[in-house]
Amino acid sequence: MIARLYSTKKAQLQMIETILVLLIFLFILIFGIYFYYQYVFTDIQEEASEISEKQATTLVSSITNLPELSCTREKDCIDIIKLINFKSIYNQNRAYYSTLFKNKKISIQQIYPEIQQNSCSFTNTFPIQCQEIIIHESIPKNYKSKSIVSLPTLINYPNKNKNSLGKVVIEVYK
Amino acid sequence: MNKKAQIEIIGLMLIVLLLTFLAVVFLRLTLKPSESIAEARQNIIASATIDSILKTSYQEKTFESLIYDCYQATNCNILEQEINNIMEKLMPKKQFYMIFSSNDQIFLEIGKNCLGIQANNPYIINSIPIKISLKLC
Repeated sequence: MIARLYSTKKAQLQMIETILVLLIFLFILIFGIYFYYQYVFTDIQEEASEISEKQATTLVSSITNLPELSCTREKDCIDIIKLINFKSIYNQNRAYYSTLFKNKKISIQQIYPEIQQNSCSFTNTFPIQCQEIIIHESIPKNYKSKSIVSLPTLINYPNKNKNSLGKVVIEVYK
Repeated sequence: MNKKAQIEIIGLMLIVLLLTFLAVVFLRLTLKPSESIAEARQNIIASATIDSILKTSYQEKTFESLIYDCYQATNCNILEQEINNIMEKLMPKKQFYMIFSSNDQIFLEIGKNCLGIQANNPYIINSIPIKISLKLC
């Protein structure tokens, strides 16, 4: 009788021991999985950010080669006359350019030679003295982050047969 | 006896699973690809900067002519001054190092050598092979 009682208690203790070990193991496993997926989630977010920047870099390179803006003879060059006339093309195809450019602000800035500091949104007529021309602006009301990508480019003035140095600036909003 | 053996086997299986999980995490951490996108972007920017500067007009000439004049050792001051001016406006507060060379002989250096991605663009200016290197620090 006593031996049976002793045996049952021993078995119960061993069961409790096994259950405790399993619980501790389960706790460690859940803990490990939680931190692993936190790390993976952060990694995915960083990759998404990198992909977005890659896309912005590709877009900034392709802006200077858009037929609506590019120079006739030079590569990676923007024709100022085309740039000024881009307003009407943009307005006629607003849906297309909104889909193409999405939540971004795209501007062309003249760096050299330096001219007066002002921004034009196609309100000035040619010849113009604009340090910055905004070709697309779609900023969401609530954005979490903003990144800026820029690339130097040539700005051709065909009427003066001269080239200025500028840059294409893209502000990406997420 | 059987139950004890079964429990032992379950224990062993759990340990194997845990070790496999740790091995997967370890491989995930060690096999992560190195960050080269930023370097590629820097290279594109440096290369585009050189290309654009070369064709930019300076008074009645282009920077290409100024580079040729400098190569001929007639005048490098204007080129150096204007490039410093351009780089200050294009990339404010950013250090750069620019080298102009022909047949591996450097004829002009602008800025201080530093750590960074370097773009090397070769050109033919008035039949002279000239290499322009730009390092963005």
